[in-house]
Amino acid sequence: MAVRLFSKLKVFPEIRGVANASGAAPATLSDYDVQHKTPVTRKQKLIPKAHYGGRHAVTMLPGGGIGPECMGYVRDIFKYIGAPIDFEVVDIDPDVDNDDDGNIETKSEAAYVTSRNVALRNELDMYVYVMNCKSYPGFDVMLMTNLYGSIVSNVVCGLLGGAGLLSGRNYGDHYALFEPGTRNTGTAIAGKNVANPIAMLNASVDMLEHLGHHFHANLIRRALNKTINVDRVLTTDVGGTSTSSEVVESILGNIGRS
Amino acid sequence: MIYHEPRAMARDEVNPTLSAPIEDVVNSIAKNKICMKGILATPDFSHTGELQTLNMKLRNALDLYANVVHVKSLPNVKCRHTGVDCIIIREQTEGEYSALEHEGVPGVVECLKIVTAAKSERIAKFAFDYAVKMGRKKVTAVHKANIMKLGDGLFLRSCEEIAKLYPRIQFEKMIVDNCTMQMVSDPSQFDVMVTPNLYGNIVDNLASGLVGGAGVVAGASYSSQCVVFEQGARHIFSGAVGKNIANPVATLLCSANLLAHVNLPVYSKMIKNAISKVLKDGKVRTKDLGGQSTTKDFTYAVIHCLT
Repeated sequence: MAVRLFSKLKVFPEIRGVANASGAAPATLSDYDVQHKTPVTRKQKLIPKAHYGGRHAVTMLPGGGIGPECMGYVRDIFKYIGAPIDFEVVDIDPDVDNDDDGNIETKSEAAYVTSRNVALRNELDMYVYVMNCKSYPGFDVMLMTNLYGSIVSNVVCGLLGGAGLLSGRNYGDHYALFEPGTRNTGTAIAGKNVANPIAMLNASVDMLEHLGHHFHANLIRRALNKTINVDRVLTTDVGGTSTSSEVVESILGNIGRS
Repeated sequence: MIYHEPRAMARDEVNPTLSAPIEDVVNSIAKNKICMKGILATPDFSHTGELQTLNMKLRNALDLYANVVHVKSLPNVKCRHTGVDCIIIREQTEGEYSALEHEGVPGVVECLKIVTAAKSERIAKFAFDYAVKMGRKKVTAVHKANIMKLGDGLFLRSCEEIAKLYPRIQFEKMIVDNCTMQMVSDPSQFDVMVTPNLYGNIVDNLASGLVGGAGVVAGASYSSQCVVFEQGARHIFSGAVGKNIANPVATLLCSANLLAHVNLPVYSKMIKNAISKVLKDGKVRTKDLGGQSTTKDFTYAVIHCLT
């Protein structure tokens, strides 16, 4: 205990000095170090300021399975409504074992390969996962540990109509990451034009909201709502007969009319 | 109407505060080989620093390694899904329930999850044997080996190894979160499921919820020597104590299974048919199934239907 105290006393003033001098953590510390080893540094950062012309740059990780096609739909819709977002696409391959890429589905069950999802979350220190599930009475906010949260969110997704509807949000102190709620890659239906694009579009709406582009977010949300509830253009997984592209066309049409 | 209980039931009480010592209970079960057990509740905290719950002690002492819960849709019980009929087989002597937890540094707790090849193979073999005995077609192993690559990986590999010995039974594997989602959206795809300890508990309870709740699902725990019949979803429902409103179906089904186990299928069928008939008529049902009847009313209704 004495040793621990002593080391703390030794370390704290240095860090405090640095933090006060620059107002932020020194550039050499990784985000993980800033979060866990520098208790006095200010941790929250604001939403990144928009670039020239009010545009935000966003990293896009299409992932495996149905990811790339869904991302394609997101980009189509963003282009159509002129959302001020520039995507930086990082392509990833689930079969690769090396650590430089961030593949989302981890094919390998070998012990030395950490799941890409987990690696990504640890690296960026994204410790909160939020999923908003409407039309599910009885619970309001549920706070859970890692594994249980994964299980409960999957159960709720199943109750509300499968993997293709809900989106989830990951938050750390520095970054936010938006993805389909259940994190199923849907490899079996990839490329068949039957995947439900709603989850990914919901995630994109979440992202626009996060960046403060409420106008564009509402535009997409209203169109989504109309497509699902009024026009009833649905993919097969939620009892419809339409293809993915028909759903997206319907959404685009609804955006155009509004 | 002829109905008599052929084996004298030794009744031992287990209660955290006033109870028979666990050794007596274990001895009694070890002697009789068959036990009918209610739910033993354990608080979320421990005054004595004791990490093992009574349930866990009992399981370890008797080596009750396999928990079997048969989840089946009941007649005329309205639920989201019909035609659910799956058997969930859960390893319940190791895994997350090792009671090995420590706080090495204040604020950081480590819980050890123990997985062994021997116990994983044993439960896998039990599951496949059970599937063969019950004439089932498919065994699904539930795991999280994409994250816990060594622990759940060992369990999964053990299941795959055992599966090779049973070429007539289809084997598939499913990650636990996907499994729970499939379970609530399309439970009819499942046949026999084999799971490690914690996932089994979650899947058991989820599946029980699908067919009408904790009050209607029976289960059993097996060791190589003895069998303990108990409810499928372990929920004590202490709010209902003494109010005469609890649903007795689970316990009655347990008793019917017990009779089948001791090779008295006639009596077993009698009770099961009577329960089905009462549920099908739908006039007498307890509160949890949307009725107004009391536990006693329901039990008498079942007795009247015994033929």
